[in-house]
Amino acid sequence: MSSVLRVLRKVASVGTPTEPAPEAVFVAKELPVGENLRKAIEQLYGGRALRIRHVDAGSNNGEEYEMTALNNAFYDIERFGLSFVASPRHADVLTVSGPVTRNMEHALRVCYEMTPAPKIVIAVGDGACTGGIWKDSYAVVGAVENVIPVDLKIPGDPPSPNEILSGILHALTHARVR
Amino acid sequence: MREFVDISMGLLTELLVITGCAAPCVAGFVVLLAPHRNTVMQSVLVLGSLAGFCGTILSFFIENPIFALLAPYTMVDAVSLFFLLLVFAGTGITSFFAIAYVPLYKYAFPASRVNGATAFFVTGMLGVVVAGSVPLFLFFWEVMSIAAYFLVVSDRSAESIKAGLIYFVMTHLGLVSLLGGFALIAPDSIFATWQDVVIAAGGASYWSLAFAFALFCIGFGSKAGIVPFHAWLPYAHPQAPSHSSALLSGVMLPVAVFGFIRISSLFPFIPFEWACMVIAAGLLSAFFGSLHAAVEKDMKRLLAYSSIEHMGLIFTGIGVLLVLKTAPHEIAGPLIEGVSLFIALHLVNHMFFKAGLFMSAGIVAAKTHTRNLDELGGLAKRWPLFSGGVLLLSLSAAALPPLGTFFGEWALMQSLALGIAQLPLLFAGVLSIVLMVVALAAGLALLASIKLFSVAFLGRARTEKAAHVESLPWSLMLAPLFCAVGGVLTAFIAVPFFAAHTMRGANIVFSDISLAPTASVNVWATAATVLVLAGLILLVRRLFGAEKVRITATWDCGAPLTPRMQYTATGFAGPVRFFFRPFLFLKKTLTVTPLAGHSWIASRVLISEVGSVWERWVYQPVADSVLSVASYAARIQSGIVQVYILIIFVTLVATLTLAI
Amino acid sequence: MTLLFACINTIVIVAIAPLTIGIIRKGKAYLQNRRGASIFLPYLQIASLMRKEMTITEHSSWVFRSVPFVVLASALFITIAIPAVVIGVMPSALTNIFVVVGALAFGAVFLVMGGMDTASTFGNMGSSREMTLSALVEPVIVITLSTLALLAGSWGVDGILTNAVLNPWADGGAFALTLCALLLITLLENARYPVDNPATHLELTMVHEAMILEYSGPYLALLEYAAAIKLTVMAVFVANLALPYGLVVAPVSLVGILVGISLFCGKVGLAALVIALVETLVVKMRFYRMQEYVLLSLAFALAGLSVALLT
Repeated sequence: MSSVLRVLRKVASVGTPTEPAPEAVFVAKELPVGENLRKAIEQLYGGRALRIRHVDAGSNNGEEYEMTALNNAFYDIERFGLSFVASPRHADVLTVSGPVTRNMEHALRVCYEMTPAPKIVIAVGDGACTGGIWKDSYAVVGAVENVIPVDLKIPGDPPSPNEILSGILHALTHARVR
Repeated sequence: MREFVDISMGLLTELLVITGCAAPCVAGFVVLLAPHRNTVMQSVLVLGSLAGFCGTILSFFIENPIFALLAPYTMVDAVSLFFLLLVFAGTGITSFFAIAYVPLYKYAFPASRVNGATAFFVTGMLGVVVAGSVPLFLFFWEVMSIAAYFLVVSDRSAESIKAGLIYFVMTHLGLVSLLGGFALIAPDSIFATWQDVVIAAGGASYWSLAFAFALFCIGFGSKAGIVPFHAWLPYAHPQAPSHSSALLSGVMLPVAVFGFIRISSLFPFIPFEWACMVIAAGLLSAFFGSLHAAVEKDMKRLLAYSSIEHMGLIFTGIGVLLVLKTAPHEIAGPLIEGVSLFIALHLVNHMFFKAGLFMSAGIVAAKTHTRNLDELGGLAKRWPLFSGGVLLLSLSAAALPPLGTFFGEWALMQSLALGIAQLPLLFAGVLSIVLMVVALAAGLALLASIKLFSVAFLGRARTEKAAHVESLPWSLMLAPLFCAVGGVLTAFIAVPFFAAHTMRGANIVFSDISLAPTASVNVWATAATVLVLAGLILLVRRLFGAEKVRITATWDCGAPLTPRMQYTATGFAGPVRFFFRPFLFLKKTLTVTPLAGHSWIASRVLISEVGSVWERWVYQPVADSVLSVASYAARIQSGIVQVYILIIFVTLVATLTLAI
Repeated sequence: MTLLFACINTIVIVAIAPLTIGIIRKGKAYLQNRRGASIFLPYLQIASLMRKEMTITEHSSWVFRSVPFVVLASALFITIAIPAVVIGVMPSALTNIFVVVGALAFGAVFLVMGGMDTASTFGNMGSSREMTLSALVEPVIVITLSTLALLAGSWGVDGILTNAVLNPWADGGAFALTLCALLLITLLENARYPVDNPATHLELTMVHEAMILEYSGPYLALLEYAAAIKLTVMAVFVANLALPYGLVVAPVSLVGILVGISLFCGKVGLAALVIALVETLVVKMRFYRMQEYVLLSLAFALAGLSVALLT
């Protein structure tokens, strides 16, 4: 019983530390909104309820570390209607990180194939956007673009949670206004 | 005019029933004259059973004492008519199936042997049901048992012979118990009719009646597969050809139940404690049967265990009936009706779904050459229609609404719950335990039947055997599909029919069947709701049916899946094995054999077995002690003639001394 | 007229079911010091799933495709069998407790077959677990509902609720124990903590989610909707027993129905917040400790029955 009370006291004392929605740190030119993205957002009620499936295609886990933070009380990605799901079949958005390694190429392709349309692919981090420092290695295929079509790129090595969040929100707002 | 119609209807009924009863004899002659004409023999059985079935149905509606001619030797009352109905229906369906099925196995066993045994078997069952005296009953009982033995050993494999031996020993232990029981309650005449037995039993002492009742429980229980006398059943039933397994499970076990009902009606009284023993045996069977069915991976053994479970439920029902008869309370009357409704319905439903499932298992085994669920899978894609039939049968075995089985089990549970609410504390306590165990057994049975269907028919084929199966001919599929439809129709036909007969002719078609003012169920309302919902769902489906569908591989996380990565039947039941491990005799043996030349590379074989607690702790000690007694006895069998003469002399002297 | 009232029960539940999920998520978010999504998000999620394409595995058969419809139908049947707002109008045959048990099992069984028809280890694993839990919990449900029926003297859920309205908290001890058992059953049947984690992304800890991993688009929407309906019905049933106020008993008036519906919404909110609180305070149990959970609920159920029989 005392542990229950302790939990409740803690909940009450902490309050809500959630930070306000991040400002756009990217200018529109850097994150062009493509036709597929625009259409998908239009079809999915303006992207107000998107489900994200994350694919680690060979990153150094920096991106994953930052993306995990999106679920915590400070960044609270859920308040924007975004949530992470367990299966590509449930997803609207695929976030891909890391330069695609040869071992993960098949997995990424299958994952993309299984995601029902309309779908959005977001490359998170420098590795996913360009191949990063591993670009010409024999072990990687390189940027995600080389494997599946990408709609949005969020650069950074790794991008901070704020950057990821602002990138996604930025794309959503730009896709909504036509 | 009116009289003429009555008489001719009576004659017609009698004629039809006698045709049905004579059919197996005719079929036997057909086998004798033309051993290889399977179709002719089975057709005789099908047509004869159809005639018998129609006659029996008619006899429910007209008031005509049939078999009056043979009066002292036969006794045909409402109970035997009901079981005649079961025997005719089961024989007709399985024989129809056998027309196409037996030729598939012409290399495993000659048709003549199985068909001859079947003819004797059906004759024996019909005889048991209509027998009017003790010797006739026992004679036909033995005909049935021996014929069943030949069905079990029909393919002459080592496994079958072993199963047949276990069956033979157990069934004769049962026969000895029956003989002992009859000797105790009707010691005066070995040609006693049932009426004589009633009179003789009326004068017997309490303890001889008690002992006789126990012996009858053992005798009929061992035939019906009641724990702890069930050991033969999971070995014997799977070994018989599948149409015979269907007959053994769907019809022979009910005939054993018939024997128990018939004999227990002869007793002048059955006290509360005896009835509780029947309940205990029934509940044990229901629990162990469903538990073993849940963890079993051999299709036909799973079905055999499921038979043990369902017979256990029926014995529980009979026990509850006997308990309620001792209850000094006016509510007991309607409850007895509710429980009898369950017994009747469940016997009919069990016949349908168990026969259907055994035949389906036979088809699957014939086409894939394996009965092991772990080697099957993915059959639904290749046999869509057949898999639909098996799904219905499995749902029926799981007692889900709106199938007939559900209404039977509902009547039992509702009666139990009503009894708990309204009877004195002692009865309420017993019935609470019964309700709990029945519900647990129902839950495990649900798991077992869904496992059977989903492992064999869904997903991907686990081995090559199951991957390349040819399409099924209608002649094979028809009988199981008929059983599947039968399992649905019993809800609409059998439920009102038997309810009308147990509930004193109440008109319950399209209205509620009520066990008490506050408890009622309406088959038609439930069905109507289900239909409305189905219509609604079809509408939803039409609305969203135009959606784009893309066929892809299964989500594999990037590493390609193989069929072996699927859960097997063993894996599916893993949690159950874990949760119920005190009740199962689990054994794991790991054998490590290093490969020659490589000390660090070894082949590892893990054998995981599920044993029976009863075999380990009951049968094994008994068998060991019998063997050790036998080895002591062997000492005096020295082979010296003088010793034998001495033994005979001593025995003679002892006997004479005793006699004087 | 009866049909109309039955429709009111169903329509109200169907309309509010996603909101229950939304409120639970919001409540959990606040208890985790987050803001959380709007409580109306589940509606939007279902709507956008309806607009999506479907991808189906090549290894599945017709059974896989029939599952969402059957599961939804079973959920709708339960909304009829367990009335939420207007009581005493359905024929007692349809609300009989054993029919409720059967309908629940029917939906569970088809969900299990959907998981088995995917040829995926995850789906199979979820199916095996769900089936085991359904089998284990069967006696608990039967005993619990029988005790409630016994206390009410009626064998329909309708009658149980009517009795609760007429004599709230009569036979307090037995009633409280049975209610505890019912709460545990509700958590188990609806794959909530501590039996299952509805928000998990880790396949190895899943029960319910694992079975629907292979569904997508409209089929997934139907399954999620069915799950929401089932949760709402059962949660409101517990709430209605504990707080039997605002249930509309015949004769029915328009005002009564409006009051009933608004109180019903209050009960949904309350039940959802209680579930959110429970999910914050307890942790998920290991699957192989589930027999302890089921035995605990069985103990509550049997204690309730014994108290009911002895008093």
